Amino acid sequence: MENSFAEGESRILRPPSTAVVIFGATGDLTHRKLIPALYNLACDDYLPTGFCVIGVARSPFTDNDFRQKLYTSVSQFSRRSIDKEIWEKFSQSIYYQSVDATKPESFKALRDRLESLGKERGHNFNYLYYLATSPDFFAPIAKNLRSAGLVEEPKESLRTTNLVVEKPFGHDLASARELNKELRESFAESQIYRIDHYLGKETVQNILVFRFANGIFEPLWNRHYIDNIQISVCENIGVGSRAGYFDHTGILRDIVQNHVLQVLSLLCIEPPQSLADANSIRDEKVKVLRAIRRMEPGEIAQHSIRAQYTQGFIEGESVSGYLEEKDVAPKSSTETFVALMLEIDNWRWAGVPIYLRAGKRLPRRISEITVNFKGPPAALFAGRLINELEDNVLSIQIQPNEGISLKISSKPPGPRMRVRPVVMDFNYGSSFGMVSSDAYERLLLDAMRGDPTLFTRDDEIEQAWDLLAPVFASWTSPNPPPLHTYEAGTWGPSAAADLLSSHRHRWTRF
Amino acid sequence: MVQLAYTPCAPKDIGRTLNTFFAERTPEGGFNRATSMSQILLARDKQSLSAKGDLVQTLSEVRPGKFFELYFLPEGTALETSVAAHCVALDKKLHMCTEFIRIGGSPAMLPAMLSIVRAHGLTGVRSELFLGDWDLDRRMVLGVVGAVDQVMFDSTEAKDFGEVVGLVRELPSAIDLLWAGLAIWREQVRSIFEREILRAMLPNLSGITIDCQGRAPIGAWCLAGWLLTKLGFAGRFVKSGDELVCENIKGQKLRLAVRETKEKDTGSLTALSMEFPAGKRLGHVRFEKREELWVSVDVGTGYSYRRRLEDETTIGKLKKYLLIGESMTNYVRSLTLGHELKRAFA
Repeated sequence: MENSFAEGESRILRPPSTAVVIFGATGDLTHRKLIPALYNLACDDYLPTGFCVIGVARSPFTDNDFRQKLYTSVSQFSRRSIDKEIWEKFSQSIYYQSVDATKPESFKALRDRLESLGKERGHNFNYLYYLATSPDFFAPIAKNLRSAGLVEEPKESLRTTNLVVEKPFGHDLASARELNKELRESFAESQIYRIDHYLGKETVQNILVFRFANGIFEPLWNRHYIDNIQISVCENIGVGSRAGYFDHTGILRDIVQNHVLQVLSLLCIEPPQSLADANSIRDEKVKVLRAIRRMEPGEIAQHSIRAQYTQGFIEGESVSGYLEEKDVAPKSSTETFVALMLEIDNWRWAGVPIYLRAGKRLPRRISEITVNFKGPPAALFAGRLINELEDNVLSIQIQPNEGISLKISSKPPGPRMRVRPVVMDFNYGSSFGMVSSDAYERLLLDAMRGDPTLFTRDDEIEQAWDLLAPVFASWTSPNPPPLHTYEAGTWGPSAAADLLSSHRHRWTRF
Repeated sequence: MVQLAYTPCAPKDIGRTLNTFFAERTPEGGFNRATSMSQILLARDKQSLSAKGDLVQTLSEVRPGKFFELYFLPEGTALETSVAAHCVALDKKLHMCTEFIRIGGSPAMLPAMLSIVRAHGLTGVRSELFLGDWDLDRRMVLGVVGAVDQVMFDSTEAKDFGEVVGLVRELPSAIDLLWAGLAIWREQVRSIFEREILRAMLPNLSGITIDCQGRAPIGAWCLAGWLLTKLGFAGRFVKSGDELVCENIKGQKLRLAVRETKEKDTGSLTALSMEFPAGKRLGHVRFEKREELWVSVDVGTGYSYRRRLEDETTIGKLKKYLLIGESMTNYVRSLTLGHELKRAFA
């Protein structure tokens, strides 16, 4: 039975009373992203009236110890500077509980703490469990939460208990399926929120508004008018302190399997039945992922390029190569750069190449979607001007500066008919007079509201792994395709350029 | 903030005065003349306009663009015009500037005042009117309404419910901050019934009681209209004692009571109860406004929580609406039905 009170109404602004239980409270994610995001939600007055955070980890801290550590983190990582009054009030909602994630009896203490906090603060909290831990702990924590009576059945209870899980969600298709199965032994699918923080970025959310709120673009959004699509996620940093983890993962798993494919699916979906219904959108995303042609083993080398950075320069500073990084195996074959060419076999996109690239130690940090349109059908401009015509390009910048731009051709002032490209720009700062919030703020708010729209569903995850499975298989086979190299501070190996030039395309130049 | 204080000028010099101000800013200052929206604030007179500084500031900061402040003079053919600009720093390199054009004239000069709006309004963007006062001549209001895409107002303080309904019927698009102020009630009703266990009980809903301190305000009737529409009881209602008995197309009945206290003045909405049979007694889901909004469930299973109240001033509601928005989809239907319910009770 649908909730008739929801129809025609805005989304609920302030979530119901919620206790956010963060497992992995001493880790990087909690300090750099989660608590700063919650603090900023407090600044914007979006937090529930009944709200508390319980940080959970093995270390024995007191509530005050934990609050002091978080003060330092928020000072450093929040997009706003600390307002002492807001922090004072916010920090009084922060608690700490020492829990061993592998020991069921430890969870009973957590349950007792949650119950006593509810009584003490006079609120019936919903519980939101955030697993900011290593993936090895996802299933045991879920199981121990259920055993301790901390998971409610959605149809039988007035309290909601939901679980937020960070990427990586599995290591491959089999492990992802296994993890889904294990989590569903303790939580219903409707209670599981798989986070991909790219979906919390304003520009990524704007893809749907841009496509479906503007009548001029949707008629062009297909194979008749679009020549190719490129999605680039470029980082100028190396692996840093994540080397130990990254060397077992690689950039295809770390970035492409989740963030890039999520962006791709939003870019290419059919209009959903409703933008207000989470499953309408997610159903369409799964259809796109299913329609992407799976590569045959013999095609991998022609459709994918992998590479590793070597010593070079980033903004004038010398940086070492990947194999010289600490905690990287001396003969590692882990890729720090990947380029793929995909094709979507459906009516809308057949014949439109989709180029994806992601890499570390590239010259700039930039994530951008580039939609390259086909040129006009006949050259009306005589003689040498024909060569000056550039195709229209729509660019959606995800980071660092969020915005959208459209390149068109225009006549510059003067006595001759000439054509020059010009760019029509929209950026969030000058158009809306405000700066975007951090992705985690939106996602945490949605998780507390119980809105799963911006979280990935089990079948989306599995389709993404299924799509890349042939590539992984090829790279780990006895005769893998070559691992190229590129100098740090350049835009990747020449083979990546060749991937496109063989189709008479070239990568967007940033 | 960089600004040009209100500078009197002749109507024909409005553009030149503003252009001079911006031309004098250094090229590196990044002074963007905002172009996202044209807004008009309509006030009864200059004194009323002067008292609306906070309103003007809120409207212009959240929606930078071109801002016209119109007020009426008692009589005459003279126009009073002045211009101002406020530039807010977005970062070290960028200022976003709103331009203000203030125009005073007698009601007879409204066409002249609107000609200035049309001459200087931004092309190709939405224009919006904020009704600053309720006791404006309806013809004047409708004269300005013709020049805009959307009208915003706050009917919370309106004395005549019928007048509000009549006005809304003539507007192309209405944003009533009263509706934004009711969001907390609608949101909590929606939120509590997200729970499947409670949704399953709705077919057995037997009564709704709305309590008010003082005379029931427009908001209380509007909320009643919303509830009945959502529950499918918007068709027939018959007075029975102090209640209405509402009937849906399936012949099911629902009692509606709107209880007021004895004060003569329009008061405030204080509680909403939805009653269900719970065994041999009547259970309820109750929303009660105290220092917070208390939501309590007693239908065999007990459950309660609190929700902080929102700022209910016009400025508070306006800020929230401009920054976050509010769906108006159900507003007109709820307002109209609420008016019918009030008349049925009378």
